[in-house]
Amino acid sequence: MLKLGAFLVSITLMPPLTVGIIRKVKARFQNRIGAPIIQPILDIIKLMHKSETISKHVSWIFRSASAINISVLILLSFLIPWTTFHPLNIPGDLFFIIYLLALSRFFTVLAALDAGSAFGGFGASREVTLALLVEPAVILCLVSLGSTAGTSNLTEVFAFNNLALKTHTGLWFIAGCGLFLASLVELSRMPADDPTTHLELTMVHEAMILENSATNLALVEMTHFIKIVLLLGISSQCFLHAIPYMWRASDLTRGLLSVAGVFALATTIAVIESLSVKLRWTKLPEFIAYAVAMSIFCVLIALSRNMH
Amino acid sequence: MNSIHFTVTTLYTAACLVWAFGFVITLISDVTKIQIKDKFFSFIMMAGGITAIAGAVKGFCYKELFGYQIFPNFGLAPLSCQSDTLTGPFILLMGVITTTSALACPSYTSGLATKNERNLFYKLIFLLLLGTFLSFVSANAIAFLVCFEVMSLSTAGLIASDHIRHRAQRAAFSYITASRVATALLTAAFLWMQHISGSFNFDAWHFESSRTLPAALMIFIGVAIKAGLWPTHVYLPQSYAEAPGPATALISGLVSKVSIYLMLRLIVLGDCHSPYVIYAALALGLISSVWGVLFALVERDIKRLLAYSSVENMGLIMVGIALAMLSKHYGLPGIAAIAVTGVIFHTVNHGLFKSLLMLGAASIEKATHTRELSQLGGLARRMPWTMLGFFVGGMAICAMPPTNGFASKWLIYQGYFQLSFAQVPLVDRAIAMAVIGSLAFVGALSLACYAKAIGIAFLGRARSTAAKAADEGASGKLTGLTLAQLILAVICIILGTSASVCMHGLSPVLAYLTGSYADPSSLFPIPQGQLCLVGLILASSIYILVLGPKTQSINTYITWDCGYGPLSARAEETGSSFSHPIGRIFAQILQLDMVTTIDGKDRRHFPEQIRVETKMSPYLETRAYRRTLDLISWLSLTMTRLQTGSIHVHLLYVFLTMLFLVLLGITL
Repeated sequence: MLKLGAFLVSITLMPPLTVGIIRKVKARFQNRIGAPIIQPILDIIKLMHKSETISKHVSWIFRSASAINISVLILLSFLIPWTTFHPLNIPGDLFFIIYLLALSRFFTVLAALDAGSAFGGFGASREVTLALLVEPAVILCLVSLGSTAGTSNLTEVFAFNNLALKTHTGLWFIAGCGLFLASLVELSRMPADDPTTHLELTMVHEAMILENSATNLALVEMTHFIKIVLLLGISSQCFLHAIPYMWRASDLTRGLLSVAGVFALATTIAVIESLSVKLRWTKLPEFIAYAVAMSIFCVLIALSRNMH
Repeated sequence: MNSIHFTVTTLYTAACLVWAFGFVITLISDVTKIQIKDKFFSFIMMAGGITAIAGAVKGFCYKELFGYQIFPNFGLAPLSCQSDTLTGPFILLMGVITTTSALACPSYTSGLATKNERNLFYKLIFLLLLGTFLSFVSANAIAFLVCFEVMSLSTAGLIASDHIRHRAQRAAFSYITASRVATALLTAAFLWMQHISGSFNFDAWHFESSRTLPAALMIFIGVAIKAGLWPTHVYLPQSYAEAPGPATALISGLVSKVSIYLMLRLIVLGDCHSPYVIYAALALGLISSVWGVLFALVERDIKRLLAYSSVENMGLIMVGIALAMLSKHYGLPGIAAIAVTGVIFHTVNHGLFKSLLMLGAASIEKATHTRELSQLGGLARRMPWTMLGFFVGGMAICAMPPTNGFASKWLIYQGYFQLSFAQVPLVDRAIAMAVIGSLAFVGALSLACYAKAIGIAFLGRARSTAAKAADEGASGKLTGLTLAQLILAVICIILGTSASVCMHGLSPVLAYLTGSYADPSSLFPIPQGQLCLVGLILASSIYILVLGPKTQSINTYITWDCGYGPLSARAEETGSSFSHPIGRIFAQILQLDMVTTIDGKDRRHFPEQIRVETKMSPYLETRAYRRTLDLISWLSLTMTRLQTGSIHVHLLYVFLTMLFLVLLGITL
């Protein structure tokens, strides 16, 4: 019961807070005080109270997509092992998780094309291109963990009871790096996309949601916040598994550290975004190649460890 | 023969007789003045289809072979039929696709001008159905080849329906060429096997010894050509695009499955363990899946797009078959069970959703008279039912949960995943990992491809007057064509949400093919149906509670245009621009070229005219096949010089030949 409570609180509060932390750290880097950390929550409440405007060209896809996407992400939060305190024991199969993420992408892309705006089309086209390059990296990182553990159920892989994985510090670390790099691209963060840009022509994620407003936009934003937490959560879990101490620690310590891990990665993102610039579109495949290389290292380790 | 066998045999025979009756009616209508209504033919097709479904369902769980002979002797062997558990899923698929296409057929034939054209269409359809059905149930090689030929030739006839157009002629010719080569290879392989086993019966053939290797390879190549695997897929986009809509649903959903059936029946059931066949199947399957989806993505014609995506799916099925053979080779029954279930389930699923999408394309073509994506757009409002069907089909083919496509693709993933840590040589485990990586890549590409197809054709604004005036017919009510799509869409979702139950139904097939008595429903542990239900409740409650209150007070306005005023539909993303970023990454394979010319006095700052032209020429067609064809025509032209027409020169040839033969006789 306590577990369920902690889980529900963290899945509602952590997404906006993570984004709040990223914005706060970026503001401090720019010598500004910045908005309070709870500003994303206030933004969402504000959006809920606005009146909605939609394009006259849209079909049923446009509004239902945002409802479907947030439900998919809520389902995913129960399936992905992004914390150590998971209330329900639903088997989180890794291929299922990847394809549920793809499902939400499918709806996002269709909703972006729905209004028939040039920007939505640009964004959608770039989103699928990036996804295409990142997908093999994500799946191979997770598959090599699963292959070492001998199961495709991620809940079991991340359960801290699988002895086959206990000594694999390197594998966990590299998988964490690979997933983190991939999630920078999946979440449309800095080297791939600038979330604070003002120029529609260069945007990826923001271009896709130009037509959304009010409640609809609030749902889309919330979906994106949850996605940030889930993807950062899974890579921070990989890093935490690389620390031998975590395998001995108590449940409470693990839980607190996994929350802290997400916030730490969020701070890392903010630091990266303050220090680096957005890459040119044509240079992106080279950046993603790092994530793919990490995943190939993971595969090699997994193959060598299971030698018979 | 017990009563169930008797019932199944009767039902199968009845289905054939019904279709044969339809064929005879078209002949009668040809010679007399009787006009037959479209609905009557459609009814006959459907009756046969439903009979076949009944027979397949009845006989699904029975493993024993049963069959009968029609003629005591048909040339070299009797024309005998048999049915076993392996034919069950295929006949079931055939029944469903036939029934739904039958609903759609009148929509095509009502547009035909003369009685003869209509009769010809139905005549070919009935021949196609008879040929396909009998290919599935034929018990020996001779019977199979005869039925296979009937099927291929009637398909070629359907492709040439619109034979006045140059494109249809070319398509029919390339289809015939491909099926000729395939039949030649299969015939050679069958004769080889008859020589080894002394029988034409499929049951008597085993591919364990190395003597059968050439036969197995020839069967595999024949199957690969017929299924449209790389590099012999080039005829597929042409022929699928030219055949009439409902016929394409049959051809893509059904005819391509006959080759998969043959592969399962002979190579997998015949215990072929040759690494040559296994790795050839794996390599060709993988290349086809990547190649097919890549070309589907950049394709501008919606039916050609679907055809290329068939190449991808045939590749996936072949990758699954390779896994089944590989795991049987290493003695891993668990993985073999997953692979075989995945292959059969994906074959059935692909038949269903590809027919669904093809009918959707037929519906679009009928309503707008174009298949070019650049001419479509905004059809979601004008054609809501087609949109719904195409949307579900697109989701299923991209393997999105909770559709059936996900369940079968998951099994193939899972099979390779388990191979990656099984007790097999390192090379095979590395291959398994590589396959998973490529499948993920193919999955992301197919998502891009179908997001493009749905997004460009149905969403946004109309890009042409034809698309603006598109009409499904029947003013919003269901027509035969849309009803057929909805039925298939519902089947796709039901098969997906109740995947475990469906797989339980596959257990006899599994036991037959792998000898494993595992319950396939335990192979798919994801509670897809329950999660889908939870997701649906969640999504609809969010829609009603969060978005719902605003629905009344919603403002509609023009799409964001940066304040320039309403932009025309030309400002929208087009199909080619959507796929351009991906096309640029794979420019080498796609031979994609973009030429930009800017004209004007001060060209840099005040251009008067900007022209951008993209060119794409498929690699194989231009580089390999075109050159081979050029070589052949060059050789033929050169050879004509030998035929001078002068009697003296020809006498010289005769003399030289005689001399050569005499010398040959002396030396041997």
